[in-house]
Amino acid sequence: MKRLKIIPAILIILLLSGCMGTEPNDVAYVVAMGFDAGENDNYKITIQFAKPTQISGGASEEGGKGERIVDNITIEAPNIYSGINIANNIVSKKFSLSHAKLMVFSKEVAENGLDDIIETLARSYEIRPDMYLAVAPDGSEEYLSEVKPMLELNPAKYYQLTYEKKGGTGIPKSVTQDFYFCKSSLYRDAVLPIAGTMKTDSSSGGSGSGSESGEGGSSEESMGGMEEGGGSGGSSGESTQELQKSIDEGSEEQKSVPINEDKFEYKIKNYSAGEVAIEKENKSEAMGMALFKNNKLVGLMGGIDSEIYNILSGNYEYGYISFYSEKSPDVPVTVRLEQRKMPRISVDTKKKKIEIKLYLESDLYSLPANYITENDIEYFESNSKQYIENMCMKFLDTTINEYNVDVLGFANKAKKSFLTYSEFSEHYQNENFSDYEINVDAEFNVRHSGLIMREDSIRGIDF
Amino acid sequence: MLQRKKITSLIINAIAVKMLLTYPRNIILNSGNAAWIQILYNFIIAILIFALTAVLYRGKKNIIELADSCGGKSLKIIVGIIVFAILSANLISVARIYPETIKTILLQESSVELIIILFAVIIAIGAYMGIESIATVHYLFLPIAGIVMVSFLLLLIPYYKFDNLFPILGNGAKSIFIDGFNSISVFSDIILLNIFLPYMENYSEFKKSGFRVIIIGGVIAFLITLAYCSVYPYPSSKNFIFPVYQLTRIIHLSSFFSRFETFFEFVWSILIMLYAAFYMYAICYVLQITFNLKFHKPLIVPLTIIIFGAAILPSSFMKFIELEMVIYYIVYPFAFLLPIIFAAASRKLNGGKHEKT
Repeated sequence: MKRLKIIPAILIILLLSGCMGTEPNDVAYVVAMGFDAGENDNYKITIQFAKPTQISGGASEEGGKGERIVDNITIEAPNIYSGINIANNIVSKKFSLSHAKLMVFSKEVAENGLDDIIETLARSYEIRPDMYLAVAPDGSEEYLSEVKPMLELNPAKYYQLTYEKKGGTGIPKSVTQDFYFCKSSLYRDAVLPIAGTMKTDSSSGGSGSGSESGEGGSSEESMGGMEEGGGSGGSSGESTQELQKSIDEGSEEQKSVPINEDKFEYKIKNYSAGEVAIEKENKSEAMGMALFKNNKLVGLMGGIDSEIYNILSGNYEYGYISFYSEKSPDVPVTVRLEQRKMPRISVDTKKKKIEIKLYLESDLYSLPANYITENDIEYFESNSKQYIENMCMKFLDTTINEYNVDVLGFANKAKKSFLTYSEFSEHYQNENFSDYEINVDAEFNVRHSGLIMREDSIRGIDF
Repeated sequence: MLQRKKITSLIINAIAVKMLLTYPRNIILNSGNAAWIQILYNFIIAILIFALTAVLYRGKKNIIELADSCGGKSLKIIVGIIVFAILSANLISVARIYPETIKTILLQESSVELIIILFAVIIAIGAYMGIESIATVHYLFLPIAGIVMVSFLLLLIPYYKFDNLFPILGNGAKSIFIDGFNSISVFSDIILLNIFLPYMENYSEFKKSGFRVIIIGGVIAFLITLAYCSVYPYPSSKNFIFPVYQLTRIIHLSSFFSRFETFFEFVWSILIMLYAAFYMYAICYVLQITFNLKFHKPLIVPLTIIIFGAAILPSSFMKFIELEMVIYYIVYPFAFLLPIIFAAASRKLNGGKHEKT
C-alpha cells in the first residue's frame, strides 16, 4: 500500500513540473501600439514589437550593432485583438500584449472618441492598467516609426522613462486605468500627453535648436548617445560639430512657437511635442497635453500648460522654473520648484466657489549676476507667488471656459456636498464650472540658495 | 478535539475567501461607493445575532443534534438537509468562480474543465485528510496570508483617494440599510462553528471563537471594501468582477516592483483550496451526522462529483454570477435563523444550564 502511494507523487513530479503551451521564445512582445484612422471605419494599427536579440546578451554591449531594437507592423483592423490576430499571420511568432507600455492615438482617432479602445484595454487580462496612453497629432504610425532610442536598449524601459519621468516635465501622467475612470465615472475629464515627431529633412541633419529655451538637455542627450557608440549606427560616425550645426539650424516648427511672455517660465517657449530640439536620430518626443471631453479630443496645450496642470493636480514633484525678475528683466531667476504637499481643492456648490491652495517651495538655482536676489527674498517670493497664481488662473480659464473641460476633477471634489450618488449625478448634469468663482492661493517659499549666498546679502548692502 | 485557535482560523478563512472573489462587487452593486458602510452595518448585525445566539445557546450539541432532540429523526433530516444546502451553495459558488478566474487571468490556454477537475481532486484529497489536518494547515498558512494582505494594503497607499468615498451614502440609505441586510451572508460561515461545536472543548470556547471570527473577518472585509472603494471611483468600481485582484494589478512601485498579483495569486489559490477542502469535509460531516453514518470518507468522491457537476450547470460565467446572487438571498437567512431557533430550543431542553463537559 505504501508503495502505491508513491505512484501519484511520481506522476505529479513527472507531469506537472514542465511548462505546457507557449514558450517565451515563441512570443513576440508588443511594446507599443498606434491607432490611426483607416478606411471603412477601421483603424490603421501599428504594432511595435521588441527584437530580443538586439536587446539582450552581447548586443547590449555593442549598442545593438546599429540595428533597431524594435520593429513595426501596420495593419488595418476594427479593434486591437482583431489587429493582433491578423498580425499573428504576418510574423512567425505570436504577439503578446503583456509587456505593452504605450498606446498612441492619432488626432483623428482621438477626436472621434476612444470609448471602444479603452473598454478593450480595461477588459483585457494581459494589458496592464498602468500602460501609458498618448496622442500623436502627426499620426501614431509616424511617431512609432521615429522612435529610435539612443540611450536605452530596452524599448519598454524607454517608454517608461519617457512617460513616467520624475520632475516637472511638460507632460501629464496618465495611464490606462485613469482614462477608464474618466470614461466611466463622473470623475474628471481625461488628459493625455502629446507624442510628436520632429519634422526635418533627414538629409540636412535633422534636429533643430532648443538653445533659446534652455533645453540644453537635448543636445547633451544627443552627445551622450554619440558617446555611447550610438544606439544606432546612423549617428555613430558623425562629429560633434556636425551635430551642433544641425541643432543650431533649427526647424520651422520651432521658430513658429512664440516666446512665453508670462512671468512664470519667462522666456521659455510653450512647446508641444514635435517642436522641441531633439536627438538627431530619435525624432520622437513627448511634450504638452491633449484635453478630452467625454473621451473625445477637444484641444491641445503646450509643455508649460502641462507643468501648470501637474502643479494643480499634485503630480508635479519638482522641476526647474524660470521667473521674471523686475530688477533684471532680461535675465530670469531660475529655481528648483518642489511641490511640498498635495494641493487642497475645495468646491462649494452652493456659493459656486472653488478654492485651490498650492504648497510650493523652491531653491535658488540660477540668478542674475547684476542683481542679488538673496537680498530681496520676500519680494521675490511674493512676486513669484503672484506669477504662479496668475498662470494657474490662465490655465483654468482656458480649460474651463475655452474647452469646457474639468481636468482637475472639481466634480469629484463636489461629491462631498451630496449625500447620495443620484443627487450628485442629477446636479452634475446641469453643472458648469464656468459659473464658479475660482481662487488660487499659492504658498511659495524659497528655502535654500544653493551652495553660495552672496556676501552683500548678509550685510544688507544693495549691490 | 480542535484547538480554539485552529477552528477560529478555519472560519476566518471561510469569511475572507468570499472577499477575495466576487463578493465586494455584489456589495458595490447594491450600495455604490458606500459599500464599506454596508459591511460595517452587516458586521454589527452579525455580532448582535451571534451575541443573541451565544446568550440563548446551552449545551454542546450542534443544531442537527438539537433538531434530533427536539423533533426526532424527521426534523433532524430536514435541518441537516438545509445545512447541507447552505454549505453546498457556498462551495458550488467557489467551485465555479475559482477555476473560471484561474482560466481568465492565469491559464488562458487551458480548458476550464481540466482546471475544475484538478481543483476537485485537490479538495477531495484535502477532505480525505480530515478536519485536524485541514485546521492545522489553515492555522499555519493564515499568518502568511495576513502578512501578504497587510503589505498589499500598505502598497496601495499611493492609490487611495478618499474623495472616491463620496457621496457618503452611495446609492442611498435604503440600499445600505434595507437592501444591504442580505449581504450579512458574508458572515454566514459562522454556522460552521455551530456544526463543529462537538469538536470544541466547551461552550465558552465556541463563544470566544465566534466573536473572534466575526471581528477578524469583519475587519478583513471592511478593509478590503474600503480600499477598493477609495481606489476605484464609482461607478467604474462596479464593473470589475474580481475587485481584490484588480487592486493587486495596479500596484506599481517605480520601475522595480510591479505585478504584485503574482504574490496574490499564490496566496489566494492556497486559501481557496483550503477553504474548499474544509467545506467539502463539512458537507460530508453534515450528511454523516444527519443520516447517522459510520464514516464520512465514502461520501467524499460522490459529493465532489455532485458539487462540481452543479457548479458547471450554468452555461456561462455571467449566468453563474447572476444565479449566485439569487442563491445568496434565498439560502443564507437560514444560516442565521437556525442557530437562533435551536439556541432557544437548547435553553428549553437544558433548563437554562450549560451541559458539563
